[in-house]
Amino acid sequence: MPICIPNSYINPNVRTVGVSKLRSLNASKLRGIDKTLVIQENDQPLAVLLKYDEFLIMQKQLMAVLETQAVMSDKDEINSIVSGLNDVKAGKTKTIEEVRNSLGKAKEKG
Amino acid sequence: MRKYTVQLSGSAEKTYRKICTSARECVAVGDLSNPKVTILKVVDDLIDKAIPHNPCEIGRELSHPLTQVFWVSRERLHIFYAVSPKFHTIAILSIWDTPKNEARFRQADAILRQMVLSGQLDHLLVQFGLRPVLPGIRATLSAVN
Repeated sequence: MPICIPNSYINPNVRTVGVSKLRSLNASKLRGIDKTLVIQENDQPLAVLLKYDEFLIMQKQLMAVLETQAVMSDKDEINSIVSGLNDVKAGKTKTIEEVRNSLGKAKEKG
Repeated sequence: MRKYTVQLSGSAEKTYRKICTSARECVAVGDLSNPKVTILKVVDDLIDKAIPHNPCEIGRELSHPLTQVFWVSRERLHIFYAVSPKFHTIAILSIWDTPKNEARFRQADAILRQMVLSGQLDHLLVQFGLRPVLPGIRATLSAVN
């Protein structure tokens, strides 16, 4: 049984439409859609149609949350990042070329 | 587009030196296919190509509470960086070779619990215009070991 949440509660740009709406859609209409469509039949939500750009943004936000969570669950890594931020504030940084040169590893400029 | 200058923090420099030394030891004995050599190639590729061009691209920034920190990753390797106060400069904060076992990414329950307890989920919900987690749920979760 899906949890029923009013769509407008999540986003006022969400509109609920019936399955028959799909039949009227073509490429030019899809390009012109400015709302996210929840497609339902008999009051049962079946699918969501949203702009690809919005889908990508959601994916990126999800990835950012997962990445942040992964970092925060590793104390050594979070300490390393904080230490790095302190180095940047204190101006204690070296260019990558300086580091490579000191390693005797002159990189070809690409 | 003009490339950003890349700098390394102390901890990033330490890790980079370690990766270089390990790779060089493998190369010295002719073991060019060793994963340590591959890691150096990946790190160099990310530092030279992925980061300097459009480093603050949407989707590269971590979420709360690590906003202002950006990342790029390839397979197990993650590089975290921030915009330096110096002109057109990026500072690499840390180079992270994650453990092979990335099962935690699949441990949804554990991740969600930690997100609720840390308040990270509340921050995300507010961004989407939703109500934060009910206090009772947080209390129940914090009581579970």
